[in-house]
Amino acid sequence: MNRSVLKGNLKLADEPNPHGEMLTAGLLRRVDVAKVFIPTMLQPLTGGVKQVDCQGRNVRQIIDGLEALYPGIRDRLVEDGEIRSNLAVAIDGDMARMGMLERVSEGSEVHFVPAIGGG
Amino acid sequence: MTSSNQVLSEVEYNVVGKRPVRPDGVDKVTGRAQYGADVKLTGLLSGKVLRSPHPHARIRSIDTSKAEALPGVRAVVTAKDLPFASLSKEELGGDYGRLKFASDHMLASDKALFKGHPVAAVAAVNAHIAESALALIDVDYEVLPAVVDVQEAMREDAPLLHEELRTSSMGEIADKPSNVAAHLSYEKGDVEQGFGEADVIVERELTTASVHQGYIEPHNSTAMWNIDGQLSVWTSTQGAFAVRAAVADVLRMPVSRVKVTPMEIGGGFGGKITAYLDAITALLSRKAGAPVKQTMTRAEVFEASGPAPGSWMKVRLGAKNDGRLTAVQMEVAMDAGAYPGSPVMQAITCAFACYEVENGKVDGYDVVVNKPKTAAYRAPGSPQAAFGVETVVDELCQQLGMDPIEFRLLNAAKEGTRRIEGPVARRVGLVECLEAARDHDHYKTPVEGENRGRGIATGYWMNRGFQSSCVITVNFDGTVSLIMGSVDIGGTRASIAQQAAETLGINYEDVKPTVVDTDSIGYTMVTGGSRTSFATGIAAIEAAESVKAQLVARAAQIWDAAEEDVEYVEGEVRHKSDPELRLGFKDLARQLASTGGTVAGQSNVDPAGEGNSYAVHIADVEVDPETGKTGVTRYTAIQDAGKAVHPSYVEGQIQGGVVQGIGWALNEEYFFDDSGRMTNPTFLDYRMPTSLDLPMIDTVIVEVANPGHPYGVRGVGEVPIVPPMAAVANAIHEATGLRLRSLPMSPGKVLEAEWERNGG
Repeated sequence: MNRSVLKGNLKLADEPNPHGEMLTAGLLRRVDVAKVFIPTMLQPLTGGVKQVDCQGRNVRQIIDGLEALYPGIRDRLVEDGEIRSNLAVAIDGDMARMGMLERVSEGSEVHFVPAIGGG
Repeated sequence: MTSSNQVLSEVEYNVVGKRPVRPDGVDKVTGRAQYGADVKLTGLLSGKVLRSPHPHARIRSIDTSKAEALPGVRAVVTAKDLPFASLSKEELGGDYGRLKFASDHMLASDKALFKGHPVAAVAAVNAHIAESALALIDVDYEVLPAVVDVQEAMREDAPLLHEELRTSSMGEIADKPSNVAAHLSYEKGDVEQGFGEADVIVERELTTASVHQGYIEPHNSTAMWNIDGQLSVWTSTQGAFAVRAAVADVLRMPVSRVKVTPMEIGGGFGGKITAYLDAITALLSRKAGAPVKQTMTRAEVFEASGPAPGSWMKVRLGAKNDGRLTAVQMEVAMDAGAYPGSPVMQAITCAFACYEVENGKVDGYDVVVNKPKTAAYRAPGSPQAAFGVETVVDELCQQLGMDPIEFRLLNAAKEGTRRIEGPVARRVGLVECLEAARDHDHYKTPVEGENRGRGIATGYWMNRGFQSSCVITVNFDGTVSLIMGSVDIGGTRASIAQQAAETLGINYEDVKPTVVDTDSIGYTMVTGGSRTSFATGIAAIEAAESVKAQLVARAAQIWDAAEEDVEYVEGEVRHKSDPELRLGFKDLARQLASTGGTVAGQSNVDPAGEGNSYAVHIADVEVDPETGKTGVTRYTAIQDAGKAVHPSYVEGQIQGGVVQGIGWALNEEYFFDDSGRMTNPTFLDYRMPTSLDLPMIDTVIVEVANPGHPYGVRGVGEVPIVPPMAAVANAIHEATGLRLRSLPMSPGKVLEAEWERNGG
């Protein structure tokens, strides 16, 4: 099941137009749609949905969008305003280096994966 | 049979890929290199740490008065001297638990959680007085039951290490205290449906013991806390900035007040990322008003620094009769030691990364036990997982009647493979490594003789990027100074200098690399995660590109030409349309002083595109049926390096990783007595392999360029330790018919398995 959402801290227009654009303060701004993969342990919150299309230009907006769809999911991913320390966000296979501010592009795959270092 | 090293290259460069002499070589072979223990400062005091003799005990009180009164003692510190002791839960808010763990790990406050846990420290005019003072400190302990086994620690009736610790299941916090700090699970496809489609299913449980990195140089630290509040630390570390952050954190001071100088390092392998001594040494220095130095004994290294975790695993694999995997599953629990943070998340990420399979599930548990807090050890978590997966794969191949390399080629991860945790693999070289193994003389040569066998195993490490900084300054003699924050633990001065030289088009010998302190370069992450030649290499390349752009501008200025008419090609600056106007790098460097001064390029990077590493190992063994001793008779390690910047160092990394892996496979383990105390904290009783125990390790470097790096570089330092345990176990099976599922596969384990097979 795929669903689209536009919520969170954007404080922009309520809904995008059919072209995926939002009108705000007189500016037309494109809002990207990413494919967000729901981690297995959070799928009970989504009623079993494994993947959802979500609008947002960065990780924070994506998570805000998820929260709007599935209340409670943000607290499972975020602690003190940052991604939980044992998690990382992978965007198209690359680990997000700017945390919640990492840019998400149109069609990007977003995964919440274990945070890992090396030796 | 002949020993050999091969490089299967795709691309040739002028400097990258060559084997120049390492810049730090002369100092190291002549004994002039300065290690942490060599630091000498005026008025230097000796520090010693008092450690808990109990693996688990409540600390009722600590009386230091007699020690403080001993002539020659200048300072005594306990956890009460740490800022945490005077901060309330309300003041710290959500940071309370984290800072308590960090502070208690430095100096125990209310409980000692492992034998060797620091409880107090002394600074004195010499080491003998410091040791005498330790004996005068009276600690009143209430000894508690200890748990050192990961499975026992997960039981509901196990002794609890932390009364406030609750299991976090991706942010969902359990309501009861537990030794299980975290549980993480990922599933791809439908694993039960996948097993339903399988013709053959193999399910096994396996365990591995705690092992140590075994670096030769013990941890050491020298600290000087000036009266102006500026703290200087000289230490053996894989990351000066990591030490700075750790010290500043537990001492609650700004990082700008702490300067950390990384000394030469005598081995780290992940174990020298954690700062064990530095905050304590700093506290002693502040209290004594003098610089303090301390160095761990070997027993302290074993008992109080971080080993790799012991683990328990359950692995289940299903395949069709044609060899195609239909489902894979692993549960793995790793001991974190006394505080949360085992590499179990790495384990579940790496476990099935060598395979393309539609249905898979992994569950990882991070479990605290009464051992020293575990630390990274070369590809942390992946070797244990590979021992589990690759030995069960071998059993599956046996049941299917398939060649183990053909099975792996059929199911190999490749570009486009979606991993269980979700992301899709980019260009990777596992197939090329498997083909190189299949075509290698070693694999094509039959195993002959009784009690001999051959094993195959693959390994994976994701590699990392992270932040790095470099500065390149052009000297007027035509050389360049390359300043970096990456500590050199495996030849990275050379590998970074080679990338700078290649980019500038100059000789390697004209690049002088220097590793500097935290005040002298931008933030740089630790040398670890197989990141340095990749990420710091990119920083050096970008700094070199900046130098090139500035030299173009300078030449344009000299020639009174437009910058766009000037180009930098192969180490010289040329006018695009006037062939008379060209200056070699050295010639232009000589003119810099009189045309505005030197030029310097600087770069701070946090690059993506690190590119994953894969390895395939072939091990031949001979097992003595009388003693159970396993000897490795031939070993070949094949690895995708992307582009080997310095092939000799890549070969050295591969050989070193294999040797450590063989030690992990056959001998190394922490022995604990019934009370949870380690009983073998010396190199006499903790048996690491020497050159006399091993054959030459043959290597094959496969070069499948990493598209995320200008020269195709992938990290190389960690994946070589991943396959050896499984490769050796599979070889032992072929030699003896015995499936050993517990590391190490020591002579005793082999004999016990033999006796069990024979009915006891």
